Amino acid sequence: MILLLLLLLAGPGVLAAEAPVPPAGPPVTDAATVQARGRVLADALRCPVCQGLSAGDSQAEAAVAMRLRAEQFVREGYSDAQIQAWFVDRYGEWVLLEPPRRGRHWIVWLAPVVLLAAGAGLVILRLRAAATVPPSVEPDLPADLAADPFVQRVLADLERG
Amino acid sequence: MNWKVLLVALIVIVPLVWVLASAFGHDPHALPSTLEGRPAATFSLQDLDGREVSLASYEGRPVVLNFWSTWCVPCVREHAVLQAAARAEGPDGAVFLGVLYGDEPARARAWVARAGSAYPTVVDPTGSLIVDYGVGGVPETFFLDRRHVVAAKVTGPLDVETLARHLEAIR
Repeated sequence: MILLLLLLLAGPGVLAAEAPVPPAGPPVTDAATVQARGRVLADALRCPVCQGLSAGDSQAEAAVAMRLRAEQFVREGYSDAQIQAWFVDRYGEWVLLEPPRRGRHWIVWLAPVVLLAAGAGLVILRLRAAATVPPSVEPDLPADLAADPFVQRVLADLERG
Repeated sequence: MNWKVLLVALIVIVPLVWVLASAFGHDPHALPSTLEGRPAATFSLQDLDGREVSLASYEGRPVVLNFWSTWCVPCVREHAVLQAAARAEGPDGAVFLGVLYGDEPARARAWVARAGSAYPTVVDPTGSLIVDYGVGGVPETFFLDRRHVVAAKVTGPLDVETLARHLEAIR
């Protein structure tokens, strides 16, 4: 797990305060692009002081600071992966609203799909089993009732369909 | 048939519950700082009185960095503990610094004038330090050793024993 995290951090380059890495691309000057990318990035980050809100949705000081920092990094040319890695570096993986698609986190992504498939398979098996068993109209009647002419007529009608 | 279904369900559900329980089973604000053992982010900011305060100017001295606000009850509660410890430090002892978090400087100035403070509190207008230190709320206190490497982070109000223990560790 730790190795995976280190690989993620090492991959795109970590924007650490103590050892800044070069941005992945050229500086971004278009304000609309900076704002849009900053918003998407902030939406994927957890607001550290809120309950169930993203940094993009909250007006808390910490969330606003995170948005500003994300926009600053976009402006400087850092890639989305570099920026996300920087926040993970500061707050840990907890800061990601969605579990990363790697390591044990795959369980969270795959379990619902597997359960859904298993449920669907179970339903199909049950339906097939029900279809192969012929419906029986032979009721389990006591001997005196089975000998009753009216009951016999009803059973005969049922047999004919 | 039924035991097979049960087995498949268990194989899927048990790991899922394990992952969710490990994620939700603790207070997220009590997470240890990912910055421990790493150099602290440097800063140069103005304090409540407008004086420039720079972390670099305290080179060679341990630093206690306390994020606080006047609206935070636990911060108010730990204030006396921090002040007493700061006053007990000698000229070469640990440096105490406050960082105002989500509060008006004027209100903090008035509060400090009433309650007193043995050390400066810097104002972080853009919230830059909050993000640099991965602060999740107040109070949070960072203990930096003489090389200004983050030695520990304490979330929540400090008591005398906890503060003394961490101070001893960074001396």
